[in-house]
Amino acid sequence: MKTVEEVRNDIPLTKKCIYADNGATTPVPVPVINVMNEYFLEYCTNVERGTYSIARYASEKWNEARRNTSKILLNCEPEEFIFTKNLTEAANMVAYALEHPLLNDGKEQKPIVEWGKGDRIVSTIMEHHSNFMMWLRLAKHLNLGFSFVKPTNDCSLLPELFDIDESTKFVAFQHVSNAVGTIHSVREIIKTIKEKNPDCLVFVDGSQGPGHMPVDVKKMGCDFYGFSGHKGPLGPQGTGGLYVKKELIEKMEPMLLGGGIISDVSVNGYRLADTYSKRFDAGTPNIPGLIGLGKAAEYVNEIGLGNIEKREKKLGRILLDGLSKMKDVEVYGSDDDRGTITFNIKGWRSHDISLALDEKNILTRAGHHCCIPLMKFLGIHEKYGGNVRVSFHYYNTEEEVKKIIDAIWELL
Amino acid sequence: MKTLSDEEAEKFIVNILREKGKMKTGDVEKEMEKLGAKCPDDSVRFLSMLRMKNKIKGKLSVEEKGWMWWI
Repeated sequence: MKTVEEVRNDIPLTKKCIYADNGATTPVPVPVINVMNEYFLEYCTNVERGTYSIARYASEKWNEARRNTSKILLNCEPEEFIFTKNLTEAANMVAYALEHPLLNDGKEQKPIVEWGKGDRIVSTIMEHHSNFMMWLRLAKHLNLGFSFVKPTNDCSLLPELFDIDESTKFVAFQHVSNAVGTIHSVREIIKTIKEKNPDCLVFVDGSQGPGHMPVDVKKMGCDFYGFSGHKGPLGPQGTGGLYVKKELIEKMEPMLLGGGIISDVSVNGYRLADTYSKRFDAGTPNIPGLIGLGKAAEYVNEIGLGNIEKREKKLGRILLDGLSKMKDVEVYGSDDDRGTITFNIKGWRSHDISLALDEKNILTRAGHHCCIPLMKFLGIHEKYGGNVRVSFHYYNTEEEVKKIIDAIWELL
Repeated sequence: MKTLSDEEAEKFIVNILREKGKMKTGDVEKEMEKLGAKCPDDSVRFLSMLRMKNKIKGKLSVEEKGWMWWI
């Protein structure tokens, strides 16, 4: 287990400011930067192509990164894991595959979902736009119904809130809210969905999950789970992943075609790679970034994903308790322990608060957090321009949280 | 609501602050809304950027519950 001080030593930014915008992007630890530097300096070649030694080494490191990322962050097999550039791309890949049947060996395969008249997609108004817009477009393209789950007043998604029947063919929702911090009971929600309709496929937006807590997609029971590498996992920007259940990845049409994903091409057609996860690596991928992501997965594993979750919740609790004593502060979400807390101060615009905290070298995020439907539901879109988000990671300290509380008091 | 370009928004904000003097963030937003327009970015971020470029001045005011902006 790495201590907080060890991790802070690996992340120089923690010495310069109170970084509390981990829900957006996390700083990258030096050991992760070092493996990316090593790639550029020692073996900067393409993967799965060249026969010379450093190209083989690059491919080995690339495959190792896929193994580490899939196993550590999601507890799935590398064959069920697609590298992406972020959650947004992961969700778009799924949306594409739901609209386009697999074309392989000159034949169109049976589609993942056989959409019929009256079929529906279900999502929630809590979603980040990156887990919303593509489903809306899919519904429009295919003339499907599209309905929303509204959360409880304290922003929880409960299994009974999901209106599922035989016409519900696809559900997309989040693991953790980026806008209020709620950690949803994903396993129970999926269990209920599948009980009501075993054929309904479920996509989970894990942008705020992996790296912040242990995630086991098998136990969760989802069909798809996407995430970004530059958030909880402490990886670089432009990296991410998508878990796809084995029986689905076999039928999934790649969104991009190109070099590196085929076993044969003729003037009449092509045959895709037989290793399913590699059908989604068309073109030269972000090799240094994804090797960095693999190292980042190892890094958070060394800290211990359970330790990260416990610590983030502890820091969040200190902040929640501090905010609860402030008369003019509104806090959003439930009173459950969590590492992301959002609030407003009556009379203030949310961005004004964030900029005021910046004066104290406290870095937070304000605004709608790409969740405009939720902000409208909460009645804070117009009133405050969204809310202020404080989002922690393992390296934040109790002393930092106290400084944040003191800084907010000064604004009251 | 039309999103102004950086240049349009800068010109508008500089003019309105010249004309009206010190304004709060929300008041700048209201003036823009009257024109059916908004900043290319969230207002505070855009105003803050103009402040960094020394195009406008800005200061936190706890009494006014927000940032004040002026030329």
